[in-house]
Amino acid sequence: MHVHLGGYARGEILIARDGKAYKTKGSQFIRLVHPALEPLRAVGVEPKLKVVIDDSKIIKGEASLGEDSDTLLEAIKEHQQALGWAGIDLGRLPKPENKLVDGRLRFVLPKIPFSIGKLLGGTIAFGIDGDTVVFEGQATIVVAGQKGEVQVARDERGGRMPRRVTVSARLVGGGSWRRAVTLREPTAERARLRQALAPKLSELPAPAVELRLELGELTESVGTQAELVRPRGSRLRGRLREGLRQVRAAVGIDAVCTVVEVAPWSRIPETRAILVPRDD
Amino acid sequence: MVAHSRDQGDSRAARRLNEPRPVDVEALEGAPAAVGGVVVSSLREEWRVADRWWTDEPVRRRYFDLVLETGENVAVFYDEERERWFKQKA
Repeated sequence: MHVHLGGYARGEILIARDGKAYKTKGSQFIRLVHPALEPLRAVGVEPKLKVVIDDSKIIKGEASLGEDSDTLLEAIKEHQQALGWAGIDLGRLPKPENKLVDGRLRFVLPKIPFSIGKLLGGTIAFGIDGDTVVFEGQATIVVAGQKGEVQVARDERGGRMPRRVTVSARLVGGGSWRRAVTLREPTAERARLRQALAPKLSELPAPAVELRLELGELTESVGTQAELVRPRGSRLRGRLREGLRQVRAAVGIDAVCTVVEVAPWSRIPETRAILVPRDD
Repeated sequence: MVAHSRDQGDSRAARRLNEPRPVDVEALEGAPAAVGGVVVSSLREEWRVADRWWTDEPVRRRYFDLVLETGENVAVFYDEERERWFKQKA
Protein backbone atom coordinates (compact mmCIF):
# COMPACT_ATOMS: atom_id res chain seq x y z
CA MET A 1 0.00 0.00 0.00
CA HIS A 2 1.31 3.43 -0.87
CA VAL A 3 1.54 5.84 2.08
CA HIS A 4 1.87 9.55 1.54
CA LEU A 5 2.04 11.82 4.61
CA GLY A 6 1.93 15.49 3.71
CA GLY A 7 5.02 16.43 1.75
CA TYR A 8 7.44 14.94 4.27
CA ALA A 9 7.10 11.15 4.05
CA ARG A 10 6.12 8.63 1.43
CA GLY A 11 6.67 5.03 0.47
CA GLU A 12 5.20 1.55 0.25
CA ILE A 13 4.22 -0.55 3.24
CA LEU A 14 3.00 -4.14 3.44
CA ILE A 15 -0.32 -4.70 5.11
CA ALA A 16 -2.20 -7.90 5.84
CA ARG A 17 -5.90 -8.45 6.28
CA ASP A 18 -6.87 -9.64 9.73
CA GLY A 19 -10.61 -10.19 9.84
CA LYS A 20 -12.18 -6.86 8.99
CA ALA A 21 -9.05 -4.87 9.85
CA TYR A 22 -5.77 -4.29 8.09
CA LYS A 23 -2.50 -4.42 10.01
CA THR A 24 1.14 -4.05 9.26
CA LYS A 25 3.26 -7.08 9.85
CA GLY A 26 5.68 -5.68 12.40
CA SER A 27 7.16 -2.27 11.63
CA GLN A 28 7.28 -0.87 8.13
CA PHE A 29 9.50 1.97 6.99
CA ILE A 30 8.94 4.76 4.50
CA ARG A 31 11.28 7.54 3.46
CA LEU A 32 11.33 10.82 5.31
CA VAL A 33 11.76 13.33 2.52
CA HIS A 34 11.40 16.56 4.49
CA PRO A 35 13.77 19.21 3.05
CA ALA A 36 15.03 20.03 6.55
CA LEU A 37 16.63 16.58 6.69
CA GLU A 38 18.57 17.13 3.46
CA PRO A 39 21.92 17.82 5.26
CA LEU A 40 21.72 14.35 6.82
CA ARG A 41 20.95 12.69 3.50
CA ALA A 42 23.88 14.56 1.98
CA VAL A 43 26.25 12.73 4.35
CA GLY A 44 24.65 9.35 3.71
CA VAL A 45 22.22 9.20 6.63
CA GLU A 46 18.79 8.22 5.39
CA PRO A 47 16.08 9.12 7.96
CA LYS A 48 12.97 6.94 7.78
CA LEU A 49 9.53 6.92 9.28
CA LYS A 50 8.60 3.76 11.15
CA VAL A 51 4.94 2.99 10.54
CA VAL A 52 2.80 0.56 12.50
CA ILE A 53 -0.88 -0.22 12.09
CA ASP A 54 -2.15 -2.48 14.86
CA ASP A 55 -5.50 -3.46 16.36
CA SER A 56 -6.31 0.18 17.04
CA LYS A 57 -6.42 0.71 13.23
CA ILE A 58 -4.49 3.93 13.76
CA ILE A 59 -1.21 4.60 12.00
CA LYS A 60 1.47 5.05 14.64
CA GLY A 61 5.13 5.63 14.21
CA GLU A 62 8.26 7.64 14.74
CA ALA A 63 11.31 8.92 12.93
CA SER A 64 14.16 6.44 12.83
CA LEU A 65 16.99 5.03 10.80
CA GLY A 66 15.21 1.79 10.14
CA GLU A 67 15.79 -0.16 13.33
CA ASP A 68 15.99 2.02 16.38
CA SER A 69 14.88 5.60 16.80
CA ASP A 70 17.84 6.31 19.07
CA THR A 71 20.21 5.74 16.19
CA LEU A 72 18.78 8.78 14.43
CA LEU A 73 19.79 10.91 17.40
CA GLU A 74 23.22 9.29 17.33
CA ALA A 75 23.51 10.09 13.62
CA ILE A 76 22.61 13.70 14.33
CA LYS A 77 25.32 13.86 16.98
CA GLU A 78 27.82 12.19 14.70
CA HIS A 79 27.21 14.55 11.82
CA GLN A 80 26.98 17.79 13.73
CA GLN A 81 29.48 19.45 11.40
CA ALA A 82 27.33 18.62 8.40
CA LEU A 83 24.34 20.10 10.18
CA GLY A 84 26.31 23.22 11.00
CA TRP A 85 25.43 23.05 14.68
CA ALA A 86 28.30 25.10 15.99
CA GLY A 87 28.26 25.80 19.68
CA ILE A 88 25.72 23.12 20.54
CA ASP A 89 26.63 20.97 23.49
CA LEU A 90 25.89 17.52 22.12
CA GLY A 91 26.61 15.96 25.48
CA ARG A 92 23.48 17.65 26.76
CA LEU A 93 21.36 16.88 23.73
CA PRO A 94 17.87 16.06 25.06
CA LYS A 95 15.80 13.11 23.96
CA PRO A 96 13.64 14.26 21.08
CA GLU A 97 9.87 14.31 20.92
CA ASN A 98 9.32 11.66 18.30
CA LYS A 99 5.79 10.56 17.58
CA LEU A 100 3.47 10.11 14.62
CA VAL A 101 -0.03 11.23 15.62
CA ASP A 102 -2.95 11.59 13.21
CA GLY A 103 -0.66 11.26 10.25
CA ARG A 104 1.62 14.02 11.47
CA LEU A 105 5.14 13.33 12.60
CA ARG A 106 6.52 15.58 15.30
CA PHE A 107 10.27 15.11 15.62
CA VAL A 108 11.59 17.95 17.72
CA LEU A 109 14.72 18.34 19.76
CA PRO A 110 13.46 20.49 22.61
CA LYS A 111 15.56 23.21 24.21
CA ILE A 112 19.05 22.27 23.08
CA PRO A 113 21.56 24.25 25.14
CA PHE A 114 24.15 26.15 23.14
CA SER A 115 26.78 28.79 23.68
CA ILE A 116 29.14 30.82 21.56
CA GLY A 117 32.05 31.70 23.83
CA LYS A 118 30.92 34.15 26.47
CA LEU A 119 29.07 36.24 23.91
CA LEU A 120 25.90 34.23 23.47
CA GLY A 121 24.20 31.45 25.39
CA GLY A 122 20.72 29.98 25.50
CA THR A 123 18.51 27.21 24.21
CA ILE A 124 17.09 26.37 20.85
CA ALA A 125 14.37 23.93 19.77
CA PHE A 126 14.62 22.47 16.31
CA GLY A 127 12.82 19.80 14.33
CA ILE A 128 9.92 19.07 12.05
CA ASP A 129 6.21 19.04 12.76
CA GLY A 130 4.51 17.54 9.74
CA ASP A 131 5.58 19.69 6.82
CA THR A 132 6.56 22.56 9.09
CA VAL A 133 10.00 23.30 10.47
CA VAL A 134 10.05 24.03 14.18
CA PHE A 135 12.70 26.60 15.05
CA GLU A 136 12.53 28.55 18.28
CA GLY A 137 15.23 29.87 20.48
CA GLN A 138 16.09 32.30 23.19
CA ALA A 139 19.47 33.49 24.30
CA THR A 140 21.29 36.00 26.42
CA ILE A 141 23.82 38.12 24.59
CA VAL A 142 26.57 39.86 26.49
CA VAL A 143 28.38 42.78 24.88
CA ALA A 144 30.81 44.94 26.83
CA GLY A 145 29.32 43.80 30.12
CA GLN A 146 25.75 44.61 29.06
CA LYS A 147 23.18 41.80 28.85
CA GLY A 148 20.38 41.55 26.35
CA GLU A 149 17.73 38.94 25.65
CA VAL A 150 17.26 37.57 22.15
CA GLN A 151 14.34 35.49 20.93
CA VAL A 152 14.11 33.93 17.52
CA ALA A 153 11.32 31.93 15.89
CA ARG A 154 10.55 30.70 12.45
CA ASP A 155 7.86 32.55 10.55
CA GLU A 156 5.12 29.99 10.95
CA ARG A 157 2.85 31.99 8.70
CA GLY A 158 4.97 30.82 5.79
CA GLY A 159 3.42 33.17 3.27
CA ARG A 160 -0.09 32.24 4.29
CA MET A 161 -2.62 34.98 4.91
CA PRO A 162 -4.86 35.44 7.95
CA ARG A 163 -8.62 35.50 7.63
CA ARG A 164 -9.08 36.48 11.25
CA VAL A 165 -6.97 38.91 13.26
CA THR A 166 -7.24 39.36 17.00
CA VAL A 167 -5.75 42.27 18.86
CA SER A 168 -5.50 41.97 22.62
CA ALA A 169 -4.04 44.15 25.33
CA ARG A 170 -2.96 44.02 28.92
CA LEU A 171 -4.26 47.15 30.54
CA VAL A 172 -2.85 49.40 33.19
CA GLY A 173 -4.26 48.15 36.48
CA GLY A 174 -4.28 44.50 35.46
CA GLY A 175 -7.32 44.18 33.19
CA SER A 176 -7.29 42.64 29.76
CA TRP A 177 -9.02 43.53 26.51
CA ARG A 178 -9.53 41.64 23.27
CA ARG A 179 -11.18 42.28 19.91
CA ALA A 180 -11.31 40.01 16.86
CA VAL A 181 -11.76 41.11 13.27
CA THR A 182 -12.76 38.75 10.48
CA LEU A 183 -11.34 40.04 7.25
CA ARG A 184 -13.49 40.15 4.18
CA GLU A 185 -10.58 38.77 2.17
CA PRO A 186 -7.53 37.11 3.71
CA THR A 187 -4.58 39.48 3.61
CA ALA A 188 -1.19 40.00 5.15
CA GLU A 189 -0.76 43.51 3.79
CA ARG A 190 0.27 45.79 6.59
CA ALA A 191 -1.83 48.74 5.37
CA ARG A 192 -5.02 46.71 5.11
CA LEU A 193 -4.51 45.09 8.50
CA ARG A 194 -3.90 48.51 9.99
CA GLN A 195 -7.08 49.77 8.36
CA ALA A 196 -9.05 46.87 9.87
CA LEU A 197 -7.55 47.10 13.34
CA ALA A 198 -7.14 50.82 13.92
CA PRO A 199 -10.85 51.39 14.67
CA LYS A 200 -10.72 48.59 17.23
CA LEU A 201 -7.78 50.16 19.03
CA SER A 202 -9.85 53.27 19.56
CA GLU A 203 -12.12 51.11 21.74
CA LEU A 204 -9.35 50.47 24.26
CA PRO A 205 -10.91 51.30 27.64
CA ALA A 206 -7.62 52.18 29.35
CA PRO A 207 -3.93 52.67 28.60
CA ALA A 208 -2.25 49.43 27.56
CA VAL A 209 1.04 48.13 28.86
CA GLU A 210 1.18 45.35 26.28
CA LEU A 211 -0.41 44.82 22.89
CA ARG A 212 -0.55 41.47 21.13
CA LEU A 213 -1.55 40.61 17.60
CA GLU A 214 -2.75 37.12 16.78
CA LEU A 215 -3.27 35.85 13.25
CA GLY A 216 -5.84 33.12 12.88
CA GLU A 217 -7.43 30.93 10.24
CA LEU A 218 -4.46 31.12 7.90
CA THR A 219 -5.32 30.40 4.30
CA GLU A 220 -3.14 28.20 2.13
CA SER A 221 -0.47 30.02 0.20
CA VAL A 222 -1.85 29.59 -3.28
CA GLY A 223 -1.01 33.09 -4.42
CA THR A 224 -3.28 35.49 -6.19
CA GLN A 225 -4.42 34.50 -9.60
CA ALA A 226 -4.40 37.37 -12.00
CA GLU A 227 -7.18 37.72 -14.53
CA LEU A 228 -6.15 37.02 -18.08
CA VAL A 229 -9.10 38.95 -19.44
CA ARG A 230 -10.88 41.61 -17.53
CA PRO A 231 -14.57 40.70 -16.99
CA ARG A 232 -16.85 42.44 -19.44
CA GLY A 233 -18.23 45.69 -18.05
CA SER A 234 -16.05 45.65 -14.94
CA ARG A 235 -14.61 49.09 -15.67
CA LEU A 236 -18.07 50.56 -16.17
CA ARG A 237 -19.32 48.91 -12.98
CA GLY A 238 -16.34 50.31 -11.09
CA ARG A 239 -17.03 53.82 -12.35
CA LEU A 240 -20.72 53.47 -11.57
CA ARG A 241 -19.96 52.26 -8.04
CA GLU A 242 -17.62 55.20 -7.53
CA GLY A 243 -20.27 57.58 -8.87
CA LEU A 244 -22.88 56.20 -6.48
CA ARG A 245 -20.41 56.47 -3.62
CA GLN A 246 -19.88 60.13 -4.42
CA VAL A 247 -23.62 60.80 -4.67
CA ARG A 248 -24.13 59.21 -1.25
CA ALA A 249 -21.29 61.25 0.20
CA ALA A 250 -22.71 64.47 -1.22
CA VAL A 251 -26.44 63.98 -0.68
CA GLY A 252 -26.88 61.34 2.00
CA ILE A 253 -26.81 57.59 2.50
CA ASP A 254 -30.36 57.13 1.26
CA ALA A 255 -29.83 59.26 -1.83
CA VAL A 256 -29.38 56.21 -4.03
CA CYS A 257 -32.44 54.02 -4.10
CA THR A 258 -33.84 51.08 -5.95
CA VAL A 259 -37.45 50.44 -6.95
CA VAL A 260 -39.02 47.38 -5.33
CA GLU A 261 -42.37 46.18 -6.57
CA VAL A 262 -44.51 45.21 -3.58
CA ALA A 263 -48.00 44.94 -5.07
CA PRO A 264 -47.79 45.26 -8.85
CA TRP A 265 -51.34 43.96 -9.18
CA SER A 266 -52.79 46.74 -7.03
CA ARG A 267 -55.45 49.00 -8.50
CA ILE A 268 -54.06 51.86 -6.40
CA PRO A 269 -50.97 53.06 -8.30
CA GLU A 270 -49.02 54.46 -5.32
CA THR A 271 -49.04 51.07 -3.53
CA ARG A 272 -47.53 49.08 -6.39
CA ALA A 273 -43.86 49.92 -5.73
CA ILE A 274 -41.65 51.53 -3.13
CA LEU A 275 -38.25 53.19 -3.16
CA VAL A 276 -35.68 51.49 -0.95
CA PRO A 277 -32.16 52.82 -0.27
CA ARG A 278 -29.49 50.71 -1.99
CA ASP A 279 -26.68 49.22 0.05
CA ASP A 280 -24.19 48.32 -2.69
CA MET B 1 -32.23 56.10 -9.29
CA VAL B 2 -31.27 59.27 -7.46
CA ALA B 3 -33.69 60.72 -4.94
CA HIS B 4 -34.13 64.42 -4.33
CA SER B 5 -31.91 65.96 -1.67
CA ARG B 6 -34.93 67.14 0.32
CA ASP B 7 -35.32 63.54 1.43
CA GLN B 8 -31.96 63.54 3.19
CA GLY B 9 -33.58 63.61 6.59
CA ASP B 10 -35.52 60.38 5.95
CA SER B 11 -33.05 58.00 7.54
CA ARG B 12 -33.06 55.04 5.16
CA ALA B 13 -36.85 54.75 5.14
CA ALA B 14 -38.64 53.09 2.25
CA ARG B 15 -40.80 55.57 0.35
CA ARG B 16 -43.83 55.16 -1.85
CA LEU B 17 -43.53 55.78 -5.54
CA ASN B 18 -46.02 57.64 -7.69
CA GLU B 19 -47.83 59.43 -4.89
CA PRO B 20 -50.82 61.49 -6.15
CA ARG B 21 -50.21 65.23 -6.39
CA PRO B 22 -53.00 67.78 -6.00
CA VAL B 23 -53.88 69.59 -9.22
CA ASP B 24 -56.31 72.31 -10.28
CA VAL B 25 -59.01 70.89 -12.50
CA GLU B 26 -61.98 72.69 -14.06
CA ALA B 27 -64.74 70.15 -14.43
CA LEU B 28 -67.93 70.13 -16.47
CA GLU B 29 -70.57 67.66 -15.39
CA GLY B 30 -67.94 65.72 -13.41
CA ALA B 31 -65.43 65.39 -16.28
CA PRO B 32 -62.23 67.49 -16.56
CA ALA B 33 -62.42 70.41 -19.02
CA ALA B 34 -59.02 71.91 -18.13
CA VAL B 35 -56.03 70.70 -16.06
CA GLY B 36 -53.73 73.31 -14.54
CA GLY B 37 -55.31 75.91 -16.80
CA VAL B 38 -54.68 73.88 -19.97
CA VAL B 39 -57.78 72.88 -21.92
CA VAL B 40 -58.49 69.18 -22.31
CA SER B 41 -58.37 68.19 -25.97
CA SER B 42 -59.74 64.68 -25.66
CA LEU B 43 -60.74 62.06 -23.11
CA ARG B 44 -59.04 58.76 -23.91
CA GLU B 45 -60.33 56.59 -21.11
CA GLU B 46 -62.25 56.73 -17.86
CA TRP B 47 -62.48 54.20 -15.02
CA ARG B 48 -63.34 53.92 -11.35
CA VAL B 49 -61.35 52.46 -8.47
CA ALA B 50 -63.18 51.42 -5.33
CA ASP B 51 -60.97 49.65 -2.84
CA ARG B 52 -60.38 49.24 0.86
CA TRP B 53 -64.04 49.92 1.49
CA TRP B 54 -63.77 47.60 4.47
CA THR B 55 -61.18 49.84 6.18
CA ASP B 56 -61.18 53.24 7.85
CA GLU B 57 -59.44 54.63 4.77
CA PRO B 58 -61.56 53.58 1.81
CA VAL B 59 -60.44 54.50 -1.70
CA ARG B 60 -63.02 55.84 -4.14
CA ARG B 61 -61.51 57.44 -7.22
CA ARG B 62 -62.67 58.32 -10.69
CA TYR B 63 -59.74 58.29 -13.11
CA PHE B 64 -59.52 60.15 -16.44
CA ASP B 65 -56.81 59.56 -19.04
CA LEU B 66 -56.60 62.82 -20.97
CA VAL B 67 -54.82 64.51 -23.84
CA LEU B 68 -54.36 68.22 -23.26
CA GLU B 69 -54.40 70.97 -25.84
CA THR B 70 -50.59 71.07 -25.66
CA GLY B 71 -50.42 67.39 -26.69
CA GLU B 72 -49.46 66.26 -23.18
CA ASN B 73 -50.95 63.01 -21.95
CA VAL B 74 -52.02 63.16 -18.27
CA ALA B 75 -54.01 61.05 -15.88
CA VAL B 76 -56.05 62.71 -13.15
CA PHE B 77 -58.58 61.42 -10.70
CA TYR B 78 -61.28 62.82 -8.52
CA ASP B 79 -60.98 61.56 -4.98
CA GLU B 80 -64.57 61.13 -3.84
CA GLU B 81 -63.49 60.68 -0.22
CA ARG B 82 -61.44 63.87 -0.02
CA GLU B 83 -63.43 65.65 -2.74
CA ARG B 84 -60.29 66.85 -4.49
CA TRP B 85 -58.55 66.40 -7.84
CA PHE B 86 -55.14 64.71 -8.10
CA LYS B 87 -52.66 64.03 -10.86
CA GLN B 88 -50.99 60.63 -11.03
CA LYS B 89 -49.30 58.31 -13.51
CA ALA B 90 -51.91 55.63 -13.75
